[in-house]
Amino acid sequence: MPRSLRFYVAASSVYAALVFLAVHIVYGVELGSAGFRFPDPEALISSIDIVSFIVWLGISLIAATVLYRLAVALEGARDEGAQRQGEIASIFALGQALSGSLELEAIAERFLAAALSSLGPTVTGGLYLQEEDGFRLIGERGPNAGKHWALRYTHGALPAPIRTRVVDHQGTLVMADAVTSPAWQPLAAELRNTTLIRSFAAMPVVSHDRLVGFAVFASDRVGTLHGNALQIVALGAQFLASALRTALSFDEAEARGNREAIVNRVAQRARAEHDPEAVLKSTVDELAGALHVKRVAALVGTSADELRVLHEAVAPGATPHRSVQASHLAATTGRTSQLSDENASRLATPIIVGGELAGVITVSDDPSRDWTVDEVRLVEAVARELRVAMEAARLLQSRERENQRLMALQRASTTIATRSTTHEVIDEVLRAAGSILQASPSLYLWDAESDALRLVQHADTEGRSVMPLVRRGDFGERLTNLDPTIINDFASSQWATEWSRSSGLQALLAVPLVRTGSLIGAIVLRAFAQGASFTEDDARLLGLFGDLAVAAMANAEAFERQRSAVEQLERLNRAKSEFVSIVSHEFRTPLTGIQGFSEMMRDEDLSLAEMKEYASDINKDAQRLTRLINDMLDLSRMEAGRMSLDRQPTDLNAIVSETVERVRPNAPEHQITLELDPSLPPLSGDHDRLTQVVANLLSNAVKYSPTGGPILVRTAPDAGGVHLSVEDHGMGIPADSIESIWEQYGRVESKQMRGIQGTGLGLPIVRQIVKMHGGRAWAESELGRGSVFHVVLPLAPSSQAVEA
Amino acid sequence: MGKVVFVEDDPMIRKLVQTALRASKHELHFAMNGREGLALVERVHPDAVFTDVSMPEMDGIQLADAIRAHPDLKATPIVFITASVQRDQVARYFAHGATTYLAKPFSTAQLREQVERLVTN
Repeated sequence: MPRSLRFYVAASSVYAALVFLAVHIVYGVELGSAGFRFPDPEALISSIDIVSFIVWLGISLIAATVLYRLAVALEGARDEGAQRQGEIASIFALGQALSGSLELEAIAERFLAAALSSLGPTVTGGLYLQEEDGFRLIGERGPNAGKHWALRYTHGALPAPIRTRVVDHQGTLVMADAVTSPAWQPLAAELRNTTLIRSFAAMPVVSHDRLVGFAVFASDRVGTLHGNALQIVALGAQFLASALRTALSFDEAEARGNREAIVNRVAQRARAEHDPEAVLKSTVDELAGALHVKRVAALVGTSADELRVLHEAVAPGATPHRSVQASHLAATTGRTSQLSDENASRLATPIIVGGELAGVITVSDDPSRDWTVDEVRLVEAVARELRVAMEAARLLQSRERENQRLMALQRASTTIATRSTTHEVIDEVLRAAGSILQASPSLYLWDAESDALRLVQHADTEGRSVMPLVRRGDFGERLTNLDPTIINDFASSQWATEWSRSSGLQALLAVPLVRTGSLIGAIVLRAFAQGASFTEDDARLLGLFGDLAVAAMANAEAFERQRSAVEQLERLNRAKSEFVSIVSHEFRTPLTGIQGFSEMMRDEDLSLAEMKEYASDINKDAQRLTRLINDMLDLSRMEAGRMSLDRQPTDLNAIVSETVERVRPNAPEHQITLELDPSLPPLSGDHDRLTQVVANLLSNAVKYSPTGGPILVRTAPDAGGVHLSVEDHGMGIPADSIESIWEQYGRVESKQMRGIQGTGLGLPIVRQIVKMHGGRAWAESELGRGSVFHVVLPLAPSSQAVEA
Repeated sequence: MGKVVFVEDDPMIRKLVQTALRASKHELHFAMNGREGLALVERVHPDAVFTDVSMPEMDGIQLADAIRAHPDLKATPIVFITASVQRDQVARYFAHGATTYLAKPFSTAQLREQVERLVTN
């Protein structure tokens, strides 16, 4: 038990006095008995007394000091051991105290208490915990608590020596005499009230090589914080580290659990609710309940300037101060932002969907509200989940819309399949596309003449008219490059016109109609509804309609072509059957003569005269066959364009005269009269073919007036040509056959003319020859009264003459 | 000896028939169309009528109809001389009262045989 120096001095003085008294008595007795007498024994004794007192006093003082020292040394030795023991015990106690689950703040409190008891009463300590975005002060203790360091540091804002030494390298920073340390200046610059700091230390709190946080200590006494003193604290810091880790993971798990519970509810609602707005609303309410704040709001908008409050939850009785600053900042930076002013403390985090801003969630409370990392994480997690939910909702919506569209497309194509004409199909395609995409549909088809797309069909419920021509380069090159064109916000596009502005055109979508790689037209949709716009999906859908339209047009055209081809074939086939039957009929009659007469020549005894006569009959029938075959071949060659004219200056009057002279003997019952205009100019024509024309007309006139009668053949100049007419007074031609007589075997069509011998090729040959000369041939007739056949021939072939 | 009426618009065939049958002792009458032919048939009451089908004014079909509709003449055998011998045409001849038909070109032997068979009955 150490005593104070005064105690030892007092003890030594009492001792010295006792010794002096003892010595004084001894001397007095001894000297008196010895009879040794001094001249002044009293004075002598008195001096001896004084001397010896002083000596003893000195000796006892020295002893006192020595004893004191000894006592102090002894005491010191005992104290140190005890302190060591105490410190170690306190570390163990700390370890004990920190085991088990504790709040972070409780852990910090216990650690700091232990550390400060070890470091002394002048020391102020603080403990920082590492979090996602920096370090947070979770405990502080000591005389100067709250004076030196901040509540929060981001990694970058940490005082440089602490950042580099403690945080980055996990080393201990000790400045026993702070002011002389080279690291003091940069440190002091970041701390407050540095005049109260004369000794400083900072040490990392590390668990499993991972920094959990760091502890700082400061004292206003030089030397208080030195390496040895800190060893015990460092030991305690290890317990601290693991305790913090445990608590953190517990906290984390709990926070995550809470977060997940909220987030799950958000996600569940999102699944139950396909409307992103409804999801946002329920999320806002959820957050308001979880955070106990004055206000939670969901803002939507695709840019910071367009944000509008969709829904807000305000705590009962609260009068929140609304400000968009935090939301604006979050929307602009795309990150969570915190802003505080005298009215409120705000936290805002953006909702990013598909890389683009969809909205902001903002939370606000009293200005004193300090947002914890967990709260920030919760809001961010909710925003993230919300993003997923909104995206899912959007996808679902778009899928549903896509489904609806595909069904509509399917319905349309089914309907279209039942339409056979192009017009009906196009109508249906436009109607369906317009109703699915909610726009006015128009069909344009390529018009080579105007080198532009020309409007052919247009449907608009409001009766708006649209531009009749879309030229190359209108709406850009995409359409002519066979790509769909989308122009949203038409009014501010470069294509805006007076018309588009006045009609309120919002958006335009044009898809090309492509067949065999070339543009044949376009379907154009125009949307007039406020805010209407088209998407790539719309373009794809309209493209499908376009394909339907193209296929329909191709089908209808093919159908039309095929039908006309079939009709043509049927006509040809019928004509061929008729031809075969007619030809066989026409051939059989002369063949009968040939066969019969030749049989008789072979089988019967005939005179030479009879022989000659029969041979002549056979010859006539053979010539008939030859004529028939020649006519057929001529006509076939003319129709196939394989006959060319041998054009010479030709006198039509001469041809008529020659022909009439040849026919006259075979028509004894007819009076053939000629009225030939002598001023008839020569024409450029084929003499033989024109002879054929006159001969055919003349023989018809004879043939179809079987009872005889006058036949008048006339020629006259006509405008730029010559006019030939042959008039008979025969049976005439029914009005419905006046044209068909010019067709091949057209003769057969008319029942009245049955039985008149002929190939049925005469008039078709006439018309072909006239046509080759660039002229025309027609007939006038009155049934039962006779017919007039007219031929007009130009003097020379014009450029439009049909040359062979 | 029998009486036969031939109705034929083609002069060459009329001449052939006349020449081919001149050795027979039958009485031959010729007409150039159905109208003339009907008058002839009504006048001579032949044992058989041979008629072309395609003729002006009245064709062979109409002539046959008229004969079959005639109370005194309806049993007269009628032979169509025709270039059209497709199945449907032949059916048409029989529908209009043809006894048989003779297809062009025919041989003189066929002609004689038909005439003999019908006239001697």
